[in-house]
Amino acid sequence: MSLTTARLQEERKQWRRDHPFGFVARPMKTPQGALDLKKWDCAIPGKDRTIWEGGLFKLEVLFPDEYPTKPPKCKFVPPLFHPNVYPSGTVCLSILNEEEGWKPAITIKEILLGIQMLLDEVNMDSPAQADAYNLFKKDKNGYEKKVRQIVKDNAAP
Amino acid sequence: MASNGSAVPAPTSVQEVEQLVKSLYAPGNPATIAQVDDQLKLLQHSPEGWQLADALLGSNDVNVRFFGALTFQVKLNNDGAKLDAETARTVGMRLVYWTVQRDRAGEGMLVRKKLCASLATYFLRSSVKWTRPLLHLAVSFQQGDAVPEEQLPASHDAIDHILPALTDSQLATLLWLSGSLATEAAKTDSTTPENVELHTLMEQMVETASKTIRHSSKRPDEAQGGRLRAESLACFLNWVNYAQPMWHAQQESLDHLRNLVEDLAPMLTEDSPTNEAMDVFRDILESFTTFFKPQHMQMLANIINQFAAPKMLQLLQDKEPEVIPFAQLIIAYGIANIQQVVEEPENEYGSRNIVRLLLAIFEAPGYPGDDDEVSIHNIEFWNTYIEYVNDAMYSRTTDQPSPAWLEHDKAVCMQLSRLLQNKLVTPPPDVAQDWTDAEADAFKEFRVDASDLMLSIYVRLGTEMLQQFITLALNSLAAKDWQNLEATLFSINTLSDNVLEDAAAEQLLIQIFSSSLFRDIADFNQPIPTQTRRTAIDTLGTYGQYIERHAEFLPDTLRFLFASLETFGLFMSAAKSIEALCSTCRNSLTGELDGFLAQYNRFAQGETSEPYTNEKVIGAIACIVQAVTPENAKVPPLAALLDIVDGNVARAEQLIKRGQMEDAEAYGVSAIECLVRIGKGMQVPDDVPIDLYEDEAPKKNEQSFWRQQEGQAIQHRILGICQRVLLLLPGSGEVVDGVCNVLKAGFTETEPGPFVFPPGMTVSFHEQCSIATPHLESVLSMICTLLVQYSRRDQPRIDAEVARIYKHTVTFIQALGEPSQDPGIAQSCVDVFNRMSTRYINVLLDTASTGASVQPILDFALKALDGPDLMPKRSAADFWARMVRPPENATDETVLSRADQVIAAYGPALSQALINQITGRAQRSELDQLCEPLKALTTNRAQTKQWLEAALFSEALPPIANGSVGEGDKRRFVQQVVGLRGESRRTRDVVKNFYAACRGTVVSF
Repeated sequence: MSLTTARLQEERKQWRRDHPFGFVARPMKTPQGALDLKKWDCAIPGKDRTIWEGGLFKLEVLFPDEYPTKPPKCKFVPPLFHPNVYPSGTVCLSILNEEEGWKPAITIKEILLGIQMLLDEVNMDSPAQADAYNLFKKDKNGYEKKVRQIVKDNAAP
Repeated sequence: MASNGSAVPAPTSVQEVEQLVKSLYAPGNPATIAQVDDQLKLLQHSPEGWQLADALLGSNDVNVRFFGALTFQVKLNNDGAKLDAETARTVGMRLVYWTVQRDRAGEGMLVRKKLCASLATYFLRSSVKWTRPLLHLAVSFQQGDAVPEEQLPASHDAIDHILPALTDSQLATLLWLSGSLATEAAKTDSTTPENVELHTLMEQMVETASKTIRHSSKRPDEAQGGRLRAESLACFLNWVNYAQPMWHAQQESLDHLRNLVEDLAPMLTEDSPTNEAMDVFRDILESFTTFFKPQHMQMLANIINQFAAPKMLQLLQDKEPEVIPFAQLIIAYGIANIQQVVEEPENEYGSRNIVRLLLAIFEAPGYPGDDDEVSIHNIEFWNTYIEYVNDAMYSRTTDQPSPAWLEHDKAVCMQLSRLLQNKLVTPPPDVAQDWTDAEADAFKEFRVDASDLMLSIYVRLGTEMLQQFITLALNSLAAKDWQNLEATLFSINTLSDNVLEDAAAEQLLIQIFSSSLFRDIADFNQPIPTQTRRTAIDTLGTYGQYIERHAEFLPDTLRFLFASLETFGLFMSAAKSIEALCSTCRNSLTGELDGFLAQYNRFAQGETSEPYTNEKVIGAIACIVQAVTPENAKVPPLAALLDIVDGNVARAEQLIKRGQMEDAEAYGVSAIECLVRIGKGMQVPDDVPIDLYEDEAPKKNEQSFWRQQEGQAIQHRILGICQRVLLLLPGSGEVVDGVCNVLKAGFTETEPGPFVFPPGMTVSFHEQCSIATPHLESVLSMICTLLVQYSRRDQPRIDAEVARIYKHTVTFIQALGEPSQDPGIAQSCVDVFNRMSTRYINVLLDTASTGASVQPILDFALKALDGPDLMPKRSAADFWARMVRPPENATDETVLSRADQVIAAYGPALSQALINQITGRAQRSELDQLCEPLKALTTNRAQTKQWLEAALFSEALPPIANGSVGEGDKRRFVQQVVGLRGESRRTRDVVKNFYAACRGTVVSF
């Protein structure tokens, strides 16, 4: 078994044993029905007492062959309106950047919690999309209204 | 001793130190206590610390003695390795002496445990190796004093004779020391040479440690209530934890620990310390499965069967929380033994019984998260089980015979899925209303985890599992057992993705959809829980694709959904499902249009009507309108929808007259949002089949209905609504966003339609705007999309419109002056010019005229590139990279020569801006983007080397933070960058290194 697979199996085990409330993380199926450990379907709930509360946002996490040496790629599907999410949906977060904060010891739980935190704690130093970034900067009220609309469209069950 | 200048004076005698320690533990002023603490820390680190520690251990006060032992530990941690051999040995002897002496004096646990911790630190840190710690302490206990190490007996079984002579408290101390040694040694890196000896000592020590554990576990100690035996378990676990990562090859050492299993496992069956024993065995089963040999697993299976199983079953029935450790032990055993559990179902204790017990957990009464606390843990076992089964099934090649266990496993899985479904049943209202948020959340969480497990079981069982749920659902429906119906529908919904991929499974669904389910549930006179209706709405959402293929079920389902719109708690999900169904099944619903419009109007009058659902439902109806043919038949229903929108605008006008601005804005914005939804609904779906054999030639755009008078009237009406709302609410950014979305709705359409406006109309809206327009960025971003759309080869050129865009956008940048005046608008303007740089480069370079209007754009883009704002800088970097590269596919001489003139004129200034950024003005994360124009320069422009050098030596260059970056470094940088000729990765590296050198984060370049 490769290091990547062994690690991902362990991640899956740990996640099942203990995961934060409202989050989802599950390997996708291959066409044959078996699990593809390198592609996970995840979902991140908006944090309570923030404008994101009540939403559940779908995310694809793709693990490269070099994982955990290299970080996984996290992508909101569909792309999320947020200053630190690229128009493609890819999340811009230091712990997911190989040249910045990624460490092989970072777990899936920590990644998803980190992204949940990012939703409300925007990092204005590394904007990834102009729409959300400009609105956040110039019209906080309009930004919050827009986010609440998005929460309605992605309401948690 | 130096004073640290604190208010508490440095003590001058042991008595004064004692006083200080006592005051540390006495209640008092926190500030003083902190000062005392500082003073004591100074003492602990002082050279006299050793003598002080020794003296304090003789105190009458327990806190002072504890502090003495702690001081030994602190000193050893800091200075242990630096001690000369004789002092080191003395320190060791003093610690052993005090451990023996304090035990004899009847010392409590606090100090004795701290002494053991100090001894363990001595073992790790001392400059001389302490080769036989356990024997040394045991012999000293026996002698009643610290015995010099060289006098310890040499025979290998010496410990056997000593252990029986020790008291219980001495044995406990020995176990603490032993456990501490294992814990501390486990933290020590085993790969460094200096630690190799330490780990060799551990291998030699394990025999003595095991003997101590065995002896202690067998000593009758009723008086202590199992204390000593609990200590022996704890010590055992510490050693196993030490051994796991360390002893891959040292089987002999490991066997010493393994042989203890037979001595310790019986504790699982006794009254005490059962809980400790269960924890220890569960821990090892979970983390170090291979520790147990087959005979151990057999033994544990017997214990579970005879002892843990009856207890667990009884506690489950009584819903007692004490069931948790029993269940967890069995779960851990099942997981550790998974291969046997699956593949040898005939093994009574090791497999069959375990499966029976772990099914019994789901069978027991109670709601997960409330009075059932073990089901959530049980999911872990069943996930492991089903994944093992699925792996075994899918890794088999087809020509291999099926394993014998498959049949048995299938029965297990069928039972499992039924029990799991049963656990998902929501409690009756009188139970649910007493739940706290935590309990409700825990129940929800269980449902999510159970869904996850169900998906895996479905991979194993397929259609049979679905049929089981369908039968259950229909039975519940017949019995009006709404809670059970809800749980089965929830389970069926969970499987939707898999079911919809499988034609055989999909066929089974007809039983549900042709039943009376959606008719019964649409009858709001029946006392059906809202939750059941909500889950039924989810069924329509998750199986939308199925209904799409079975239009005969649409009327019932949509009638149910429209009826649900009028119920609180349902209208939101009903609106979403209506939207999804009407969008996918539009072609089957055209006959229902009038009915839906009537139902919509009824809902719009009701109290559940609010903008969000309103917009969804209007959009849904628009989808059906889109499917109406021929085109002119779309007009009446579309006009009816626009009447609704007009109604909202009129309402907004009234509210403004009454001064209710906030409400007015809500209606105005909602009116525009409704238009957006209609526009999206009117888009031709992607999956419409293209008729290759259509006889009639496609109509020319000009002949299309929407280019004729009646069609144009609709278009004007739509734009008229936009204008009215813009005039009503000139300050609303949301309205501007909405209007942009209305205009964009037709961008991707290939055929004319009511929302496919001529580009000139979109440009006119742009021309209405100024830099004071709220959300101008949205307008510019829409213009970008328009430019991209009309840059495609299959679209006609729209030079005249692009020229209008160009002219008006230039007025924006002129009005701004500086990009930092409004970075958002600045960036958006530069992006508009970027989108012109391919097909409309002639417009961008103003080839039809003198080129005078290009200069303000270039100046602006240069300021943006060398400015402080992130986003304009990014766009400007893109702009300059595009400008420097020769125009693509351009043959027009004027274009080519003007492009050259631009770079000849701006090359030096561009180079200066880039160098200013790279030598420190930029943020590190911006460097990759700044490399793009730099690479374009080095690839395409021969003068780049001179330009860059001039920039680096120019007086305009801001001072470089790292003063040691000199002339040579600068020249070397230019040499390297130019030499790389635009090679991407290496250029980036060179730029990053030079940047780091200039910022002083690395020493030199």
